[in-house]
Amino acid sequence: MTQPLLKVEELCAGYGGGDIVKSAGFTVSENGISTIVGPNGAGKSTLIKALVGLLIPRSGSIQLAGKDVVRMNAPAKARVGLGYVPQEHNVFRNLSIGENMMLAYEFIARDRAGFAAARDRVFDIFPDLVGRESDLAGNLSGGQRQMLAFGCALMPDPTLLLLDEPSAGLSPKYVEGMFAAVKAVNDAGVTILMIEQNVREAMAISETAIVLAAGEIRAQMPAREFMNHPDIHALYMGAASTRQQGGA
Amino acid sequence: MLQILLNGIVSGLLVALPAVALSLTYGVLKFPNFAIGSMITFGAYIALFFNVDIGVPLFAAAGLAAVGLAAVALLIDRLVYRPLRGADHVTLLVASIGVYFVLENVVRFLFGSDIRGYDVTVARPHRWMGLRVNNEQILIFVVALLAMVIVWFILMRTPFGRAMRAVSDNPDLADVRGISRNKVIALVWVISAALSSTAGVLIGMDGIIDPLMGWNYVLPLFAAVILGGIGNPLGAVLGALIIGIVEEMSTLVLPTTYRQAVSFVIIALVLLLRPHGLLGKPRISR
Repeated sequence: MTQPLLKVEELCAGYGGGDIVKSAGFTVSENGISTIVGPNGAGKSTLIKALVGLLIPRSGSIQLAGKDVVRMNAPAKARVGLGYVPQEHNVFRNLSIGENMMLAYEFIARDRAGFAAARDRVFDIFPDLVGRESDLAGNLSGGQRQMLAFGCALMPDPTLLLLDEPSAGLSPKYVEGMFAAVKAVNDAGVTILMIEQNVREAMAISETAIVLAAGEIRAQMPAREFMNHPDIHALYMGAASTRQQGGA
Repeated sequence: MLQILLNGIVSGLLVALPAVALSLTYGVLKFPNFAIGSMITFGAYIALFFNVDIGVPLFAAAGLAAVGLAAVALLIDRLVYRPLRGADHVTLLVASIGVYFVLENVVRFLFGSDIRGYDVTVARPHRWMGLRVNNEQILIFVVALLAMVIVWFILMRTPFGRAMRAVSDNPDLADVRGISRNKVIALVWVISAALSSTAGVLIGMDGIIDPLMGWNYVLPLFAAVILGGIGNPLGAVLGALIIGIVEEMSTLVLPTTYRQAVSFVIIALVLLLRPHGLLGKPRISR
C-alpha cells in the first residue's frame, strides 16, 4: 500500500451562508489516478476549488505530501506542487501558446534553465502544439485548448495534478486522446486526481473511485469494485448501461 | 495644417501616457480609475517641490516625482482599493472619485491654489520646414515615446509583463499558475504612477501648474481609452493620438474653448457606433 500523497480530513467549504462541501475526507495514493464522481450539484467544483486554493476552506485539513496546505492560497499551493486544469477558461486566450507555456513554468519552477526541457516533454505528449508557439491561444479549438491547458499544468512538473472534467465539451475524437494523455502523464509518474462525468472511460484508467454526493464523501473504493458495485453502478451509470443493454 | 498636425500629435502624446496608465489599471483591477487626473497633478507638484523648493534639476525631480507618486499610489491601494478587492466596478469607481478629491485637496493644502511653473530656461522655438517647434514639444515627443517603448517592453518581454497580461486576461487562472496578484497589482500602480507623474511634469513644462491641471485631462483621457478599446494599452495610445489631432483640428472651425467638447462628441460616437473601441474586442453575452 503506497502512502497517501493527498490526505483530506473533515473539509468544509462553501459560499455565503451554508457549506457546500461538508466534512469531506478522502486520500489520494501516490502515482495513481483517482476519480471523484458524483451527480450534478454534489459539490465537485466547490471541492476542487477548495483543494487548489481558489476558495479557502472554512475548516478541516488538506495535507499534501505530509504538509498542511489548507490555509494556502492558490499561488502558494501551485508553488508546492499542486497543478490544476480548470474545466473552462483554462488558457490565457489573449496570450500566445508559447506565452501560456512560459507563464505556466516561470512563476512555479525554481529551475529557470529547465524551461526548454519541460516544453519538449509537453510537446512529446501533445504533438499538435509543436510549431504553434506564436499562435493565439484564443484561436484554438476546444480540444486543442484543453490539450494546451493540460500541457501548461504539466510544465512545472507538479506533484499532484487536479483535472476538472478534462473530457467536458470535447468531440469524441478528442475524448479518447485526452484519456490516453491522462494515462500517459500518470505513467510518467504524475499522480492525478480528476473529476469526470465520463465515468466509464475515467474508471478504465483509474485505480480509485471517490463518490461525492450532497457535499459528502459517500465512498472511496478501488475503481474495479466501483464498476462492479450494483447499487453505485445503477446510480452513476444506470442510464448509460441500460441504454447499452437495451441496444444489445 | 502641418503645424496643427504636429501640435495634435504632441497633445496626443501627453494624453497617451496617462491613458496607458488608465488602461493598465482597468485591465488588471477592472475599474476606471477616475483619480488618474489627480495623480497627474500630484506628480507634477512633487516634481515642483524638488525642482523649485529644493533646487534639484527638473530631470532628477521628475524621477523623484515618479518614485514619490508610486509610493502614494501603493499607499492608496493599501488603504482604499485592497479592502474593496472583489467589489463591483461601480463601487471602485466611486472610491476612485473620492481619492481624486482627497489628492487634489492635499495638493491645495500643501502648495496652495496659485498658478506655478518649473525652474526651466525659456528658449526660442526652432523653425524647421516651415514648422515652429519648441524645446518642450521635442522633449514631450522623445520622453513620451521612450516611456511607451519601456512600457511595451515590460508588458511584452518580461515575466512581470506577461503576468500583468495574464491577470488581466484570467485572474483565477493566473492564481493557479503561481502568479501573485498583489505583486502584479503593485507593479501596475508603480507603472501607472510613473506614467502619470511623467505626464504631469511634461504638461507643467508645456503650460502651467495648478491644482486643476489633471482635471483638464480627465475627459480626453477617458475618451482616448474608450476610443482605443478599454483595457488595451496600444488602443489607448492610438485613441490619444486621434483625440489630440482631432482636438487641434477642431480649432480650425470652433473657438478653442470648445476643444474639450470634441472629447465628449468622440465618446458619444464611439459608444453609439463601436462600443468596444478601435482595438477592443466586442463582449458577447448570452
